[in-house]
Amino acid sequence: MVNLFKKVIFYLIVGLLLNSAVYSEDSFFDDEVIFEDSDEGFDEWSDDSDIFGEDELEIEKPFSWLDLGVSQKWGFNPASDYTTSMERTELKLGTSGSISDSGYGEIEIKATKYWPSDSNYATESSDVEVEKAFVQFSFDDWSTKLGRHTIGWGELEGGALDVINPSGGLTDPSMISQWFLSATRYFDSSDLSFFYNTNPRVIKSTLFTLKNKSYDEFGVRYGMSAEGGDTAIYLAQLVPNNALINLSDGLVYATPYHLLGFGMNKAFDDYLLKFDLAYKQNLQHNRLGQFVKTNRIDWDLAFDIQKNDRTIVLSINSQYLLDFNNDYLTPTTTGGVSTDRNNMTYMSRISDKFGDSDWSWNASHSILSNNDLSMSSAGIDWDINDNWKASFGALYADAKPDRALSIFDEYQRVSLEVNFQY
Amino acid sequence: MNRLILNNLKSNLFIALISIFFILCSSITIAETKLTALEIMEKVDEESRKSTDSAFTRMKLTSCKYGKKDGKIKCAEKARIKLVESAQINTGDDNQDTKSVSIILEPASEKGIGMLSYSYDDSNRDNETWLYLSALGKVKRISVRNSDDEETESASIFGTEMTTEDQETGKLDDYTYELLEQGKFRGREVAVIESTPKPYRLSKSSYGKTQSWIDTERFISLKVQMFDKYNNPIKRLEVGKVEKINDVWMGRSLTFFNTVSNRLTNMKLEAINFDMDIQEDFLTQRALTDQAFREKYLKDLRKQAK
Repeated sequence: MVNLFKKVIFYLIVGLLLNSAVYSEDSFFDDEVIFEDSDEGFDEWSDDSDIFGEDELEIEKPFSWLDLGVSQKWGFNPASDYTTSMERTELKLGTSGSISDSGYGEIEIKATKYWPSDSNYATESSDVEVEKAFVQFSFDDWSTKLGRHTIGWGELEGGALDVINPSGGLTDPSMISQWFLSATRYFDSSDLSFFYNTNPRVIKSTLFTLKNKSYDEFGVRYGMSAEGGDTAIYLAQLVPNNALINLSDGLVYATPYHLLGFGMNKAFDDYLLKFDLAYKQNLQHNRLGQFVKTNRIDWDLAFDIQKNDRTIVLSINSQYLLDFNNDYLTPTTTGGVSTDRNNMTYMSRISDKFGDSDWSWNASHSILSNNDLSMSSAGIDWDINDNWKASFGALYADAKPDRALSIFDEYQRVSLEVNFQY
Repeated sequence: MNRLILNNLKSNLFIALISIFFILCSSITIAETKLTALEIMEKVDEESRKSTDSAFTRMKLTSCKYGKKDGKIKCAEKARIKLVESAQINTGDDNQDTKSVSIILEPASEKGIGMLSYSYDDSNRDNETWLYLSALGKVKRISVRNSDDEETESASIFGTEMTTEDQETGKLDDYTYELLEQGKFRGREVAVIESTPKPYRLSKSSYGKTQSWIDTERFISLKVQMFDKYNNPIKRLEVGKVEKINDVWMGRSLTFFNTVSNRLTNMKLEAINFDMDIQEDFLTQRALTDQAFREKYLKDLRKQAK
């Protein structure tokens, strides 16, 4: 009996050893991680693994309330032996935060120093402007915002409805903020917003003075959000972002027009379909010997396609004059050229990341105004670290002679920008 | 003599068989849980939902290219740090859907960028994401990965190694589960479960399969290995600093290793609180456009968070 008991214990021990050997051979419970390349085996993962050097990460940022940005920008013209056409330094100072229990405010001031080789230096050697300055208060379902900020309308950036804030022009599409009073009433899955601007910004040449008085600008947007898509309706009285030369008297005007619009987006798989439609009434236009008001239908259709980090945007934009006459003219620097009834613009843009996502590239091609102007651009951005960024870009334009945009013919620009943000 | 040897052999064989039976029984009682792979994953999903329901978190996302130094994983470059606040609730039928809003606090260059996400349990409903772009003064809907293109990956979250697919909960019916092994891992009883997406899900997923090391007592993942559609390991999640917070077990440090690009992202939960009073009204596009409304709400949540 004792022997039998000994044997049972012997087999149990042998069995348990074998059993534990089976487990120890099982890679699922081996904590050493073996990657595809066997050289990349790592030690046991631990909660205390000090990957980052925690001391370094815990350093508190002094002046954490202050947002500081410094940019150095250069632009060169390859068509003219790479002479410097832009050399400027920008300093941005800003802060943001709560004001009382239900308020919030943001301010950002930009100071620019133009260096002698900058084309703007002849006009001004330095400039200080308020980029952003607003306060916002929120009560129940209402929100109000007062100050200098940007309001984006429509689905396509720069499209038929994105007409409230002027942009820097064809070669600089960034938006210019304006002074607004705006308010929004929020509902369950929709919102009604309103804005008012007593002094809309109008882009014009410094050589001209606006002939007519300044008009107020105001508008209403009702947006609805549903699963898979959003829609919005727009109604506004707007002042054109760009002043128009009256070919009859040689002066420039910016007279209000009325807008009724509709915008929608719809997600399909990787695609986002965007559509804007606008009826614009009382737009100023030149006719032979006359300065008239006309009506126009603008629409755009765009696809945003997202594939990993690659983004592709394809868009078509149309401006169709409803009451067209053959003697309609579009001003140029040297006079006026004939206007087409339907004005089509096509745009394609692609951007992607490479090199461990620190680098990204982009390329775009646009055909504007029924191929009066063709513009290509390419750029590389380097996200050096959380504070430093650099970007390099090139732009080339080819315009038809004797057409509205012929001033851009053979336009070339190579640009370099370095940013520091703290 | 022969009979004696035969009897002795029989006796030994009998004892050996009895011993093997006991050994097998003992090994089964040590490691085996009575739950099936699907039941384990359902419990994991249930626990995961507890940790996301009415939750407010402040997390630090640290990303870098990594390498090995003195046998330890180290950043091979200056790490990039994002500080993000996030509020999330479960909603819909049986609280199977989630709504969340995340706001970047740091770095300065991305401060204020907000993301609103609706994630649906029903595989026929596509998840939705919106971003607020302050420079354009508008909210932009983002097309989320849903196509049948097998080469497409789901979107990265704020440029980190985490993707929207890594954050997904629910959709358990979209996968088949197999219990690969059970045993001890890092001192815990675990079950290793392989999740394979069903054909309709495979076309929408970045992964061909995942293997999860599930703590069978706490029902949280301690480690997840992700494979591509050609069965190559491509990403790994390591869960650390497991703590019980408000009666819910969770990891406060999650590290995603992209073993193809050799980049990692560590998500460290600096503050977290559950069962907070987060209204569905807050998780709308208003939280992106109305900063006063958002700050007022977040201020209340920050006071409660620990």
